[in-house]
Amino acid sequence: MSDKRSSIEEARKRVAKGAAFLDKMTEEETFLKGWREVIDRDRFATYGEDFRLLDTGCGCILAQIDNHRCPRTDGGESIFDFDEGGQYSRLTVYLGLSDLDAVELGFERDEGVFYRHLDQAWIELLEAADAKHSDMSDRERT
Amino acid sequence: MSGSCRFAGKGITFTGLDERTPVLAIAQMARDYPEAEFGILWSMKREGEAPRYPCMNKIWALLDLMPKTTRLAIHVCGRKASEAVVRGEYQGLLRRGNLRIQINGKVLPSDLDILARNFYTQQTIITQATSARDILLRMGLDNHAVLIDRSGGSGALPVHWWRPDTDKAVGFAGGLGPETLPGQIDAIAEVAKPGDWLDMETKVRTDDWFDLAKCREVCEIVRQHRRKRLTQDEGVLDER
Repeated sequence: MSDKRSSIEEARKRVAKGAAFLDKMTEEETFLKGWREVIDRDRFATYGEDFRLLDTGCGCILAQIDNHRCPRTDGGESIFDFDEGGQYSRLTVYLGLSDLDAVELGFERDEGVFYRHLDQAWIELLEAADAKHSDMSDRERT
Repeated sequence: MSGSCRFAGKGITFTGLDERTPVLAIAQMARDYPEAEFGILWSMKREGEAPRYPCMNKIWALLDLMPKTTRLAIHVCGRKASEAVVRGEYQGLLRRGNLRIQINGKVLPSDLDILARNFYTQQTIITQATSARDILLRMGLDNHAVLIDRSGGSGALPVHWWRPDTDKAVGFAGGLGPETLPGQIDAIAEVAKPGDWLDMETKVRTDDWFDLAKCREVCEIVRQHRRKRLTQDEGVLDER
């Protein structure tokens, strides 16, 4: 039980770092602008618990963000077709992240923090952002 | 001595792009130094084992993200990957326009023939020559080049630099980097011909990660060397 709790707490820490990283990179990389809006939270669940699907190596959040939004360095479109695992790799390479970096930023699992923990942490973070946004919109209306 | 500088510094291959290599900075460096080529090591056995052996997904990503004009090479390491390439696998990846494909390890003449004449007519196939009598040196293939490298990525300098008697382009590798190149470049220039290139791997890394600053330093050393030799040549011509 305590392991489970520490795993989700660790996932939250990493995910907060990952979100801050993406926000910071948004200043340099315009394609990352609005990255929160492109995430389909239902797709996390597709990977979260099913370890057979984890063979794709999909860290999911980056795969979803990439999804061909990330340009080639000469601004052209992708030469190859990438599956989701490939898209995850494509964006980590673009951002200069090693697999270890990706773990620290909550984009990839390790032995203690699994995808289900990361999924939960990302969903919480996105929901918190939604709630904040909705709250701000309400205030603006009043 | 003057006029014997045949190494035009046309190509410098920096081998070992990894996961942390910033692709935008690579693209910028390729614009600043068109003589630079970037090599990616591909080993099925060692992928992910050390930073210099990125996994296949990341190799696809690196090749995809780089500008089409950036000069790239893929160095196929180990028997498993080499055999896959000879069987014609991964052509979708390796037929990228300006890619040079280097096979590290033993290549049979029949394999080279298939690669250069059938699968990769638009690319250059590089094999390693270990002696002047290497049978592959006698094969009449326009898109075949050879690499002289006794170090195999160990970072060791050779006792002396030699060049096989061939019209094929030759690459010189082994222990080269910004610290060692100034002491070696004259000796390489003495044996090299126009179109030859330098290749370096271990000594352009810091903490085992690919170090672009070191690569830029190397390009400047080669340019400086070239300027110096051109000035010397002009001086001799003036005296004449």
